[in-house]
Amino acid sequence: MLRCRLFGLIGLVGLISIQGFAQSLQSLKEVVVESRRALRDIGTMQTPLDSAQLRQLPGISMAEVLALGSSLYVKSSGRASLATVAFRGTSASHTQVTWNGLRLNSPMLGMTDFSTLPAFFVDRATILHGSTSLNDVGGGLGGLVKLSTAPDEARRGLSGEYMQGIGSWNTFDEFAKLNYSTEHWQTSTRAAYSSSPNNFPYLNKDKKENVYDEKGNIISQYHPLERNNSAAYKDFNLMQELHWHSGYNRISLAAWYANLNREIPMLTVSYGSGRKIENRQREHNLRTVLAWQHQHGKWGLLLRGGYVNSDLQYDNKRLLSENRWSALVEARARVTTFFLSGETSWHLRRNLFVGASVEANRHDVSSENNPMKLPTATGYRKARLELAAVASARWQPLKDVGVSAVVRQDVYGSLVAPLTPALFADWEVVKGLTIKGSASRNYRAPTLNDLYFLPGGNKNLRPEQGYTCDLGFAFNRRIGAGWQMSFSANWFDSHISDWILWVPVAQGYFTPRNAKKVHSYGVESQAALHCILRRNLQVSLNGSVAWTPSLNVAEKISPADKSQGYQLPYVPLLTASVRLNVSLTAWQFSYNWLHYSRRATMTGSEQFSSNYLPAYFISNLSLGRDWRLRGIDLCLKATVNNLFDNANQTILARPAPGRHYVATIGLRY
Amino acid sequence: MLFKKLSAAALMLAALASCQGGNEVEETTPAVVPDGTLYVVCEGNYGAGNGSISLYNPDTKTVVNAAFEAANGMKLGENPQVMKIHGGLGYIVVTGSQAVFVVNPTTLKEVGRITELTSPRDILFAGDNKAYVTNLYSNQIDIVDLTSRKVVGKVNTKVTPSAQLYAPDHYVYTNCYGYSNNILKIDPATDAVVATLEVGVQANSVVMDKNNKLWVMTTGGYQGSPFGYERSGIYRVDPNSFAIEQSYLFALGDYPSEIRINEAADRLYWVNGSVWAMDVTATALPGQPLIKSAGTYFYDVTVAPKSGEVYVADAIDFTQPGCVIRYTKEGSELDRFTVGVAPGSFCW
Repeated sequence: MLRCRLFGLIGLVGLISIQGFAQSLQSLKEVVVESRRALRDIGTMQTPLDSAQLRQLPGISMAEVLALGSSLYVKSSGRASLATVAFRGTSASHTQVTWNGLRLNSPMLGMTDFSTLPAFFVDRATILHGSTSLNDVGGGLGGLVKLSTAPDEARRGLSGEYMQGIGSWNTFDEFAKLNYSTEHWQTSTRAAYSSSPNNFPYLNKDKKENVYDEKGNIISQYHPLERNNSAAYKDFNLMQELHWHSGYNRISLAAWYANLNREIPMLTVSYGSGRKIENRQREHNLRTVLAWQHQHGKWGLLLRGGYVNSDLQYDNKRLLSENRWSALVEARARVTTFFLSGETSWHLRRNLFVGASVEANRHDVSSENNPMKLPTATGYRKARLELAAVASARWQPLKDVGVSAVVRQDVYGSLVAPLTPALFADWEVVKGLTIKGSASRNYRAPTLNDLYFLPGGNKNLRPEQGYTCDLGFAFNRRIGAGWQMSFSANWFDSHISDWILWVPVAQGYFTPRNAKKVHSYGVESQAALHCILRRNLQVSLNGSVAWTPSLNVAEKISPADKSQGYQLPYVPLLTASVRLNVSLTAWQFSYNWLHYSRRATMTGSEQFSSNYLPAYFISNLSLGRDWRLRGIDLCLKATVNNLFDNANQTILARPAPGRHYVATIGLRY
Repeated sequence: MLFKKLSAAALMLAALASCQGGNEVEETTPAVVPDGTLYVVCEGNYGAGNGSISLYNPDTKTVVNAAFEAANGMKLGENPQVMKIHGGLGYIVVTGSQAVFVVNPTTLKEVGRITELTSPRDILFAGDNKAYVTNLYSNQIDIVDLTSRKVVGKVNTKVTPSAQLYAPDHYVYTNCYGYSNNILKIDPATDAVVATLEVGVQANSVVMDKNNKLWVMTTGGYQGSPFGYERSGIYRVDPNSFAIEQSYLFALGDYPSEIRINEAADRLYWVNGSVWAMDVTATALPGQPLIKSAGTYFYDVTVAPKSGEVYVADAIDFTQPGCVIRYTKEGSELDRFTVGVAPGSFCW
């Protein structure tokens, strides 16, 4: 069955390619384009997300954008629940994330919760695969998701935008944006508020309800239709930007405040009452970045400074009797980060570009847990200064051939990482067809929780180290008027040693260990076709597929260890997504399809039904129309998510919503 | 032409997309469990709801994994801790699911359940129709009527009781693990705590020997613990005087597991990296382990009531199905078999 689906998908990608080739044959004589490739991108593997993906729905998060618009694996059980992103068979903490140059990965946990990043607060998003991330960050053993905001310089004066989404289960999403722009100044204010009880119904196949006779004997059982209890959320985000530019200089200030209040849903195997459980996380995040960019001829300079303040609260309580709660967890954490970076670049010649950058992050973490109100809380207070220096050179010795090198040095507190080099090369074989390759070393230091968390932190942890090489091609061609197609495929091979894993210990808590050695390899491919069929009819079709075996290749830890050679838990062998967008006059139609293959939840064996999750399919459909009324653009849109009402479970014991609906109204002035 | 191709692609996508996913637990005819079967309670992973029961027949060396799921067509749940048999019924305590399943021990088919519990950790039968259920995160013991399977009362304890036993003197003794150093003596006639004894930090288990002496294992806490960090130890307690008679202390940094005792109640077993055993008459901790660890992650130990053979649970790395290894009394390996994830306790 899986094979049939795979063939179907390959057939679709093939259809795009054949269509493109057929068109190219007709149009070859018409196209004569002379251009030089950007030196900065020599040999890199990156996937830019188009802005339409970021603006699908007002409440959409970057987790949903990445799931539907890339081959990355997004592990999430629905809106406002922890959503982590991993690619190339690595873990969530191997995906680095930056916003306007500021790292968003938690210095405590190492990972980023993409459900907390509203897509409407991002103007540009690019995925940098594997080695390509090294120019920006270290530790991206999978890669980097690079997010940024940008001023709208095309419009002068006052402009505004408001969108409201009303969805199933009393879900409300509000988004507003106000811009004011002059020749030199742009200011932008965005605000978003999302709320929902999020209590979607689902048939709970993990439990059964008993029907008893008068003597208390079970006479029948059935799977109950339950609701996703204790899952409400209220998220508020506010962002203020101020941009000034004149001549060679540009100064930007961006400040982003987030106030998140989310319940953590009960497990499907819980028999407790939602009213007697308080399982809630609250977050207050303030992220600010001030940047000065100077570009004068061949020389460029970018200086950035930033500050992050995060207050995190997590409470897990049970109601014992009226007004008497028993706290299981009462965790409080405060994280402050000061960030400074400087980056310079110089086009020495038309075919030679050199760059250098330095970066400093100072993290201060205070983490404590005191559910039993003891005189002293359990926790830690630690600070770590992280320094990085990067030098790079990009050279195009021939018109069609480019080579580049990046050397990176990271320092994490007293831990000096080994030098991490990366080499890139590409060759434009024929116009539009480029062969690319790269090889690099990478390195990820343990997080502060890995080292110091109480109980369980392990100061003796070794950093994770990885080696990656890539080889692929990219084909991009504009074919006549209105037709554009692209196709790329990339083979990668990575070895990661000293993989950090948290495991339980006899004392009853978890501790991190350098537990695994992983070999991941595979193919990432993307195809896109965009055509303008008539003046008012545009069709675009995008697809991405990733095949990522990610195997534990560590020595057996004991004779009973059967994990050697098996796929890592929660790493799908195959991920695929397809997006179809059709724009006809003022109408827009879009269809998104996403597939993850069967995923193991354990390593070594699938003999238990709970040791794997079945293949995941989801389809979303939307239809919208625009009107222009007295200078105001009005947009109405209807969306059906999980169109076929598939009973998908993406994480063990976590329910996922079935078919649900969103109606959106948008106004733009 | 293009429209036809796009339509074909859309239809193909729709066909692919409508494929249903779901790993429903299938119910099968329950296997009949013969006498002498070992029930292995596998905790599963935190937050994954993948706890399970494995069965092992020592005579035929056959194993049935995920036996509860197979018998009932549903999952056992989150973090099962113990299974006990009383009055011809099996009681499986599932902490994270806030439930105790009552099963027919010969089929594992559910006959009822106890809910309205905070975080059940252990069950003790303190009378014909009465059980005490301790909770991991509660300073109360729930009193359960075994006929109605309802919580009918509470024992207020001020600290958090964990494992418990019902002694011949008709008192209940329970250790308190979470940030405590107490052993409680409870009178089941009045459902009240009648005495409290301080032992080492974080007592994780208690057993009674043939001489009616209590043996308490303490873990000593952990470095940085607000409740203190000290050497773990075994304490022999006289229940009548409710006082410590002898202490056996481990090296600082050792973390012994829960203490177990054989059927004759004359030999103690525990895991401290390796598997250790000691007669109840010993005056000092043993110098050599009974079974030496070789990269294994021993998680619990039990002794077969009739043969005296030693069974040790190996959780391996907690990310794969665990293993149970069967040894002779002297520690020679006889058999090994794969069980569920994180095998954490046994029931005979």
